[in-house]
Amino acid sequence: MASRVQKKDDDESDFLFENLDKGQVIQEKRAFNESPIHPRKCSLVISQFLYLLSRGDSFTKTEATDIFFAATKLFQSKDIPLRRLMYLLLKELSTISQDAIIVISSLTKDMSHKIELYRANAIRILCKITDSSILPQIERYFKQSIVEKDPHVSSAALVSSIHLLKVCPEIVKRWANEVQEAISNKSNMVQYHALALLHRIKQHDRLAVSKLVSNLIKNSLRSPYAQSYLIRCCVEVIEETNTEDRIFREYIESCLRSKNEMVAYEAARSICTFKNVSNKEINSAVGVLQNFLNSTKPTLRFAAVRTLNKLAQTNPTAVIPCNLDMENLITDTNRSIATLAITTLLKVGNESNVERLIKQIANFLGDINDEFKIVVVDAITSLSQKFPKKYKHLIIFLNKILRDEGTLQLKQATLDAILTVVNNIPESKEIALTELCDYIEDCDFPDLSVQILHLIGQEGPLTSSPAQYMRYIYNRVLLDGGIIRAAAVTSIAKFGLLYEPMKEKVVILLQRCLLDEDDEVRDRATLYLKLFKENDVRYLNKVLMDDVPVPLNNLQKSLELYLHQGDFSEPFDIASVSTVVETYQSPLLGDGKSPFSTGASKKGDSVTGTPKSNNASNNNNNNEESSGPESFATKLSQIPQFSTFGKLLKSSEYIELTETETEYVVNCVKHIYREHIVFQFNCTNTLNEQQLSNVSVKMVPSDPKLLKYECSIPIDVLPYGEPQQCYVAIRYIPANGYPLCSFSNALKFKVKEVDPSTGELDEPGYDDQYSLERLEIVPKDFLNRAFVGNFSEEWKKMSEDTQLVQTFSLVGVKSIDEAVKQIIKTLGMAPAEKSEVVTPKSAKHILYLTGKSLNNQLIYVRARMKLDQSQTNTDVELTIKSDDESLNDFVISAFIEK
Amino acid sequence: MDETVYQIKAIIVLDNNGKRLCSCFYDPPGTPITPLTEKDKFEKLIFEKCKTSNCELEIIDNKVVIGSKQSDVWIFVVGNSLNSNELALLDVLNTLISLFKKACATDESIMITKKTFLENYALIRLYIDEIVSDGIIFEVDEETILNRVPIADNAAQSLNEAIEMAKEKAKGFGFGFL
Repeated sequence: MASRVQKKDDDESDFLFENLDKGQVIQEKRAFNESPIHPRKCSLVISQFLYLLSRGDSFTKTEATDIFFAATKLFQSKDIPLRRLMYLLLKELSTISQDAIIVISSLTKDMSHKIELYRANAIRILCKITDSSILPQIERYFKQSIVEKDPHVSSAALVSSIHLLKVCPEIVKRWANEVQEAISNKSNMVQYHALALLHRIKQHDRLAVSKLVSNLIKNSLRSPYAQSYLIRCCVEVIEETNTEDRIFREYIESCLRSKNEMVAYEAARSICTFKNVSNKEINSAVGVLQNFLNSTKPTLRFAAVRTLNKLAQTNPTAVIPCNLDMENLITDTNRSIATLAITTLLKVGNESNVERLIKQIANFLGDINDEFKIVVVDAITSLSQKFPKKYKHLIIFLNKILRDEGTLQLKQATLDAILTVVNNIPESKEIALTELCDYIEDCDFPDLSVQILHLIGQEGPLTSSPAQYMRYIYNRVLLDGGIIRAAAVTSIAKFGLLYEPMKEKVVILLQRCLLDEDDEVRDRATLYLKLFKENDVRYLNKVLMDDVPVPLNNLQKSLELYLHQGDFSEPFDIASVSTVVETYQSPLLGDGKSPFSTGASKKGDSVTGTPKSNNASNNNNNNEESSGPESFATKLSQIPQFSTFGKLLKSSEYIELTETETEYVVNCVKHIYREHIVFQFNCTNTLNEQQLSNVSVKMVPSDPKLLKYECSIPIDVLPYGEPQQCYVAIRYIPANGYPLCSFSNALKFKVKEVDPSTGELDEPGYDDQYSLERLEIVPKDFLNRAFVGNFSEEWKKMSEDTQLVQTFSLVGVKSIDEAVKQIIKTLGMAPAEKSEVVTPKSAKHILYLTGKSLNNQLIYVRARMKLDQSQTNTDVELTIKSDDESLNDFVISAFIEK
Repeated sequence: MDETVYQIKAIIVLDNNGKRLCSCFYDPPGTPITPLTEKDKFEKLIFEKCKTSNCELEIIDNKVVIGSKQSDVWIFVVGNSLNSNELALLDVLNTLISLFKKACATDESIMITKKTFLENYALIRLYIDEIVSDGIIFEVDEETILNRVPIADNAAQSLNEAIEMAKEKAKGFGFGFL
């Protein structure tokens, strides 16, 4: 290698190209026109253009075309290094220039040049500028190049053909024989490229693919890249054909023993994704991954632990043999590997090793950053649901994270996790409160302190020794800022309300707050003191205990929408606010977003959120809430056929009419109007080789007399992966009662096959239909939740003369908790007095519900329930009060059929 | 199966401040061209993640990212999806680093530095082009690539001479202003 002398001068500290100006460089293209050509000068100019393009400078079409034309002059040059750079520049410019076609004759000449470099590069540029009218003229050269012995030329032709297969598939498919021949080329990369191209040529013929793959399995491939590709082909064949032929699985298994790590890993990963996998197969694959966990290469450890992490979600038992190896990775210097190891272990851990595992993780926490810590916090939260008895260790662990250095985001996530554990495991409440009290002694984030004070005020009085918390709360009054002091005052008052023995002490403490410098603190203390002195328990309850029953973010959005719509003829209705909490996204382990969820509304049943403290009491109801009518009302009112239906009174939750893994995914929302019901069907086509058109749902009612068909709005075109809606509207007469009935449903559509390589449709298509689940109109479709300040007081006001009492049995409901959930779900009404919270293993319970009809009549329900003697059913006494006897009958009808 | 052969989404080279020295984003035919704003955002994200977490193996934007720090230059290979085989990406990364070192080698050092990277920019671009072709792994055997693009060839020498010419010219230009 020639020695190069580094010249020292004043410019040494400047970086080449750093201050390059696009305009100046464009002027330099003159160098290309000089005669004779100066290779050194031209090479520098090309370098500058390449740098500008890579830096992100944009060239107009005119500029790019001018440079492109100028560069074509360099075809005259015989300087090989310059020719290399010329090809590179033309390649970069070809997609942004006009009339790039001008170089085709020069490139075609180069395609048959005796220098391999010229042939290979000419081919690679041609595939970027050629189209279906030009390709037939140069087809001969492509075919020759594919079977060329020189691997540079052959690979260039094969890779270019892979690109061209999307441009002119019919022509490239004619080269299958040449591609087949290229598989025998001595170069590993040519073999790989040839296999990839041949597979793609035959991709739409499953039998041909199957035959190709099995033939190649018999004739051993040499190239590791080809072997990896063939493994994926085997997976494709297995999944798409459900073949009984063992040759494909046996090939993948044999690749587990490959000396090439890429191939062995590809095989192991493939086996881990099999749906029907034998123990022998999975154990062999896990064995390979286990070896990789101990590799000195970080990439190999990363690949293995990432695969095991995924496997642990579907088959945790299979991962257990790797536990010890993964425990060693907890301290891996690579943080991604360490975090994946931790979260995998947390998924497969058993009750006996949870404590040791948590200890190990705790030692390691100081080494990772906040984003990874949040992933760990999330995993710990899941662990608490699997091993509730270990709550003490989990709370202490989470508390340690809370106290360590960290961002507000991390602290909030950790606090949310603690609250989740407390909600799921009531026994953990006291230890959690104790830890949180210590935390707020030295907390840097006022928002967190306020949340914790709220929790202590709410739960502290209900613990075995409430007095212990008072010192911590009062310290906040003495030591913290105004916002925190105000929250502390409210917490103190809650103790006075909920824990009678402390009432007098609370009054004394509140009196000390009257001199606070902050208005909010003084005002709260003044109010609470007055209420205590007047012994106004009802109003204290209203002020102190009645949480806003919906997430504040949702309330804000609904209020903004209400103001924006400008129609104030009816007061704002808090019952219309959604109680669904937004999902928290894990930064590291989140799965790729499926196209099927893009643009689709979020389904209530699929939302699992981390509750904020002020929404904790609504946690049980998250899955049952309707989405707010406001979000639907706007859309529906823009549909002309529905605009005369009047005000949208209620929208139901999403009802799945298909499984989510099927070819067509459909769910339904029922929109209730005064005299109409609109069924909205959200449809997703999950087959990329099909386009559906004229999509509609045929609904057959069980009782046609109750309702009349109004209209139907189909989906004109339903492409792959883009959810859209179709509608069916019916009319009913309220005076005749509610149209409670069920429907059998079928999705009807026209199918047109799509050629994936061209995107062309196979006209004219054919009609088809797809069965959907039954759909029911039920009483809760005509009931809304309502919120009252004091259920027992309102209950007493309602006359017993009009109340309805009904007893029935919930057959097969073996626990009070399940009975409560079922009743709430069936009626769609709001629990009151926190009565939806059931003491674990309780044998009897009283549930209070409040709701209202669509014309705003209030309904009160009391459900007294107990397990029957056999412990397999739950007996329920339902008492319903409203001003309308027929409304009572309507509510009870929700259970009559059971 | 597109991602099976179009394995590489991007090759990104940044300096110590996260500034782009060279970026090649690959968009297979039929897919939309990655806008410049998306590239900038992605590079910033990669740099922030790898710098703060001292991490050269990452999942960013649902893509596997494998990186390496070379004195004052960061080199990243980005897989096309979560299904990327990390070891194939590693092959590409190792070949890139090895060839960059040869391109940047001086009498004093074999390190890849920002200065030597830019001074051998054209050669480096040629190497990248020989390793990945529009997202498809084209060749990863170092000897094969060196045979196709020899270092000892005139390109490097003539480029150095051209650099000297450019500097002389710049000096003259500056003098003119004075």
